[in-house]
Amino acid sequence: MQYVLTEEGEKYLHTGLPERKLIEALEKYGGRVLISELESEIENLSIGLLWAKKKGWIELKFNEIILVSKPEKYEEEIALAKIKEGKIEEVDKKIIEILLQRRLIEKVSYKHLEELIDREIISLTPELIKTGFWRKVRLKKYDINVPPAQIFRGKLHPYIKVINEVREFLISLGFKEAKGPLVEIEFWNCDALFMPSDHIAREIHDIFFVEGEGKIERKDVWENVEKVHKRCWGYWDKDLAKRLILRSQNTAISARELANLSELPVKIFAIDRVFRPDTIDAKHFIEFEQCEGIVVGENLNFRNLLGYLREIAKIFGGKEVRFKPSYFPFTEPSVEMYVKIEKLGWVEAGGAGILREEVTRPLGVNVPVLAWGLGLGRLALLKLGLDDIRYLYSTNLKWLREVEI
Amino acid sequence: MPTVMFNKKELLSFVGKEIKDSELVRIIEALKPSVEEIDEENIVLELTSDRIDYFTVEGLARAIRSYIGLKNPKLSVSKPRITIWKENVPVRPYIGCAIVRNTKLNDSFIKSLMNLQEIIHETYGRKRKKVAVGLHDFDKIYGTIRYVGANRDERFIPLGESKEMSLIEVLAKTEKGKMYGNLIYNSNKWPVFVDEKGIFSFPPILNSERTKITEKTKNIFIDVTGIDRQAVQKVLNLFCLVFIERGCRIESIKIKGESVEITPNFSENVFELSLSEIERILGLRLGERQIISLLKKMDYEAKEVKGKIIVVVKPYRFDIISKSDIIEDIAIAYNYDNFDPYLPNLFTKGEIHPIERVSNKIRELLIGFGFQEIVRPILTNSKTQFEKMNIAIQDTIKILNPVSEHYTELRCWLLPSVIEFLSYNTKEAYPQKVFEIGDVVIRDESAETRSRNIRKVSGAIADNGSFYAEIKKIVVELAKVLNKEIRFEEVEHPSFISGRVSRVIENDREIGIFGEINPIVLENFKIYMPVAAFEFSLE
Repeated sequence: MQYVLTEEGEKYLHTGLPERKLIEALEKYGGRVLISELESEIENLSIGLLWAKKKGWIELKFNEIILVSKPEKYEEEIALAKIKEGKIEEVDKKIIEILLQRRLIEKVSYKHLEELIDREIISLTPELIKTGFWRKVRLKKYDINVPPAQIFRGKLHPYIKVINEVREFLISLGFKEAKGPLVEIEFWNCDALFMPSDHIAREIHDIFFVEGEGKIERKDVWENVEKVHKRCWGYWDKDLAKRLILRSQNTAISARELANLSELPVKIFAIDRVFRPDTIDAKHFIEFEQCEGIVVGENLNFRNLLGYLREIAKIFGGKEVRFKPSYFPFTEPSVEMYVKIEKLGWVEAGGAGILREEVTRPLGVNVPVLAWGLGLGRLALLKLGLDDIRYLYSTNLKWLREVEI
Repeated sequence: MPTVMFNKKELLSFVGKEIKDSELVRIIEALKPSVEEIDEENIVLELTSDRIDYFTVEGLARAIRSYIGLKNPKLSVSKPRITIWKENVPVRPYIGCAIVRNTKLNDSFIKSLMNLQEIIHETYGRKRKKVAVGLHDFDKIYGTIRYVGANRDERFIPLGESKEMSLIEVLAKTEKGKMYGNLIYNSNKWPVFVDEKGIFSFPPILNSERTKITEKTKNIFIDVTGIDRQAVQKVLNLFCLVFIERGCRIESIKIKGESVEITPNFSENVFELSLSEIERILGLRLGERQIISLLKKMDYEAKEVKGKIIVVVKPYRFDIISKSDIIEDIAIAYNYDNFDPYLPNLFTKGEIHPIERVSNKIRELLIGFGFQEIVRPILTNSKTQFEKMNIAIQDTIKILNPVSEHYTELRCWLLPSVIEFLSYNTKEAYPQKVFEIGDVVIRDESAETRSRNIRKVSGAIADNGSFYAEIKKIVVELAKVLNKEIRFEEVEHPSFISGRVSRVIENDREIGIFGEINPIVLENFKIYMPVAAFEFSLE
């Protein structure tokens, strides 16, 4: 027959029995104290009183406890410790009875464990530890050269990591993030950006069309845009403007934001998905992320635009920046930014410009607007050391698991 | 953006000066094009669509010449000697014509002209709809020229053919007729130029074999037709520019219709700039003299009148719409490299979009659970998101002009993207725990765009065993992180095993679903491993 400590037994082994607590308190109070004084001080005071009295260590007079004799040792505590260590043969039978009565130990059968004695086992179990039987078995030595099973960490997608870095960087520059619908009205994607109704970038090889027409919610803006198109291009096709498409540039988000400005100055950015028909290969896909931003405020000029671009270029990790003239239908002047990257040389980093007044005025904005866009896919490939954009939407779990981010 | 290749020697002979490669690249790039390649023979440029004049070696040479301070030939035109009678042809109402005298055509010249013609047709001409150009041997044209609406059975010998064809046959049988016939087909009368001998041009489809241009051609008749008066004029001007640069003389033509017009019209397009608006846009304080010399570098004529700069724009500049276009040219002449960038003192508060903040929180949670993030296209197809998922096909947003059968519509739920991902990785070690956070799009007739994005998260565990409880635990944690009070509700969903699927409800609204994937779905995706998965809305 074997004995193990109950939960309470374990606790007292650790903290000391209540009667020990009681005697120690009495000594502190000079040998006598009111019960009420100790009630909050000693846990399970009543148990302590019961056993101290039984052993003749104290007397109770009315509500007062009086120390009669101080015990030399607390046999039950010693017994608990021995039982814990598995040295049951060193414990007096009477004490075992008392401990059983006090529910500080309980009987257990160890037949199945006894079978293990002197044998080599593989797993150390909670029971072996609790019963002390671990001393009577041999734990098998492992072959430390056996390779472990693979462990797969939970990880961010590397592309998301780059995107989040860009996001944080722009927020630190004071840009506020905006969103817009993936299914867009051609109006916000093209017309509001001064692209004439017959612009070649509005044809089927540059835009995905979907069925249906959008609603005109900002009649004022639609009327302004119609006027400017008729004045500058000589015509405007409203039915075309109403067509629904998949957003082909995040400048559509900028246009919506400009039509709904509530504060000045303001810096706004968007990092989001756009869609364009294209051949699908290592360099092209029909969906990609675009990062675009605007700075809206009084007295902004071309030199400020270049100033922001030089700041934003830092995300590419290049030290030198170069600017070159460029063309976008909605900006004038327009500029293309190149960043010098170690080993690669000059890399095209993005386009920018000051929005034309033909764009800003119809949207109700009468201050300069600096606009820029980053080649986010290119940036991600650069940062990840890849040359195939298909990795960005990769279906390859092995690669995702192994790539260091 | 379009790419063109020029013969370097030819370009430099037009410029009229030897220029070292490095210097040539610097000049051209400062003028806007990007130099893709340069070698002994050729130079390859990437051009922007605003400067159509750069598409010709003559136009680019002219720009370089003014940029480096050489003199440009004057754009002049002599008085009309010839009159064209013009009927009203509603399908193509505008024409512009000119005669080029003293042409010395050679192979490269003809190639250059054909090249320009093609570029104009493809880009600015909107595939010949807006503008089309024809060039003819003027000496093969006899008597009075008229622009008239013809019946479809009238006949001529089209370019490249040996026999007469009726106009309708030209549309039906020739390559160009098939390509561009739709531009005029629905009209009663089709546009043609005729002389004594009959039709010699059938715009915007084909010229005639009779008036075809050869190296022997001495005088050229240009016909430009279209539906936009200004565009027709500008294209004619650009062709005239090329001929003038080649040393030819342009003779104008009187066009008599409802009114009388003389083309080409090099009349001046004048803008008035003030120093302050240039400073406001560029952030540069430039003097009048400096501005005038910068403008001259960009081939403008400019002078100062009472503190204002009067700018005359060349007739072939299609892209100058307002002052800002000219101010950009001032910046280009000043050279972008010479601008000193500076950040204005403009304090604003940066902020992440709330849905991205939530998305990042969820990423953190799922990575803690050992999930690998994936990113998939939003475009998908019906087969993947409905059929293979064992559910009825739903009304989703479809593309009218898809480029691949794999990507024909927008995903309206996220789970198929995750399951499809697993199907690509059946050879990779299990357990596989993956998730995606991304947008789906659903119809919403009340919205401005008749649809709405919804940010969702979906994840799956593929492993030998039952992971329903594990997935449920994750859903409970998701709700905790999102501060949502949820309850679970029994549901039948054919993508999941009956009795092992639950809806997630918040305030009587379904915001998610999870359970063990139906083996039918696993079979459809050829995944031979049990999968438990969830999809959850983050909005």
